[in-house]
Amino acid sequence: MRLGVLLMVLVLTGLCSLLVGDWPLAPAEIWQGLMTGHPQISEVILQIRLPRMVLALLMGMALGGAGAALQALFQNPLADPGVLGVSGVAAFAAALGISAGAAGLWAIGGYAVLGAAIGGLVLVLAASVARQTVTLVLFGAGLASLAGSGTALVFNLSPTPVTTAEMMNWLMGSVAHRDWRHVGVMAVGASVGLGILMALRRPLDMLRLGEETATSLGVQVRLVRLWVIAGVSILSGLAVAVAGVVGFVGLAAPHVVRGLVRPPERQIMPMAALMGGGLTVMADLGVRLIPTDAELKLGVITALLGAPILMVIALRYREVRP
Amino acid sequence: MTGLLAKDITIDHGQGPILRGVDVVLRPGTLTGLVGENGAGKSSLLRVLAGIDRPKTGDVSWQNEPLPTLPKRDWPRMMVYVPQHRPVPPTATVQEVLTLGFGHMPQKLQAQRLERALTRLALDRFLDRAVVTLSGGERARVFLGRALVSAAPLVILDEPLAALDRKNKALVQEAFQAEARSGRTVLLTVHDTGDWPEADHILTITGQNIESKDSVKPVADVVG
Repeated sequence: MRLGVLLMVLVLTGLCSLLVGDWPLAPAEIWQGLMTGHPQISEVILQIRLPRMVLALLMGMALGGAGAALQALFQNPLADPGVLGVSGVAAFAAALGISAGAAGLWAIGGYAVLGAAIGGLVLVLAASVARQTVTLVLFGAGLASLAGSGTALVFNLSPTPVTTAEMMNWLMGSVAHRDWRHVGVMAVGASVGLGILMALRRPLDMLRLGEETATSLGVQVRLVRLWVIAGVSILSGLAVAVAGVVGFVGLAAPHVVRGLVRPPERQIMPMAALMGGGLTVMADLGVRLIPTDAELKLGVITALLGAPILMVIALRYREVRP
Repeated sequence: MTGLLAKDITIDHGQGPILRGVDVVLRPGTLTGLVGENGAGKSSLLRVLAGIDRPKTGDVSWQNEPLPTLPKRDWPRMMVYVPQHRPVPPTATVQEVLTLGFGHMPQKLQAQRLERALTRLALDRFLDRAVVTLSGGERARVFLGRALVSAAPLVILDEPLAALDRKNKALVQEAFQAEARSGRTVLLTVHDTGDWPEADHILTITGQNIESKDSVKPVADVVG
């Protein structure tokens, strides 16, 4: 029942996001425009708003699924893709690219993909030698903080204020001005990444009883760890590459699902992916609805929306836990 | 039916061997207690016998099949292991913890064994409770109950009586002694040999070796 309501809210939010923009359109107008092939309406809906909405949905799904997988692997409710540092390294690479003169979404995205690949590779190597999962958490925290310092250094050495502003702009995350090519890249990445993570649901479920018990049940913990890291790296790296840094979705989505739907633990990951998608579309709707002089950034809104939701849910958790 | 056979096991975590060249034989239908001082290597040995850790030297086999060659997916059919460290999943109910990982069992069999485990360990009224809301002793019984739900022939329990009061110790003792009588191979760590009067063997870790005392029951009979 709750899941049904949730899905309905998600669909409605998606539809709403098609109505809102510089040119407000009523549902009937959109329907008629699309049916009659009205050039402006078709252009606005099919080439601007729909790809933007689908990209926000896919990116949110990627981050929500990745967050749920990491929380299951680390058995830690605070884990999210940002904790491992892959998105941090991707952001650092993007900032480096901008300061080196890269311009345009594709050039900057290319740097971010390269950064995500390097960060992911380093983590996968670490995962293959780490004896314990906690070692990997600490390693990831180190990598995240190294990437953060690197980004700060790039800001520090930025040649002009314009470059600094451009970097800030990218790092705050946005799905504005993206087209179907971006959607295509993210769709492939999300399918591969989420496919890997979904295939690991059973072993991740057993890891809830601890690594020793899971091993005795035939789970190859090291291999599971390696694949989760690979899947999460693909998801979070590509999300940064197509839309910059959008925080909080990965952390909040699984908790929102637990708080609102309370599904069995095995269903958390697919539901967190859906919820992540919904939250991101909702946040992007907020970006367009809140009237401001400067353009609001998606990453800012996800944090503004996600943090209070998480705080409320955290307090509610205390009621059922000792 | 050869049961579990471990030959020439040396365990070394990098600071000198804990156990050197020990042999262990566990026959089906027996209950074996492993005794040793704190830090003697009881848990390390259990982890090696359960296939969690590889020994520095030596081999472990179950029914003549070396553990590393047994397909991982068959492990839950072969063995159930309850470690000393039992993290409690934050949202899991008693039923979930009791059945998690036993998806290979036919549903009817699982339901029957679940019912039996709940009764034997006096957990009936907790079935739908979140494990985190239970006391230490209740949680311990839930995790031990996994070994009763599982139908695997080899049962390995680390510190099964820790955190239990006298009444619940008796429940656990009776339950696993009955499992051994029913043909399962039970190995568990023991603090006081008197805790398991029906143990068929007591293995004592002294120094880096193991001394085996077969069948303590006749001794008890003589004393009695």
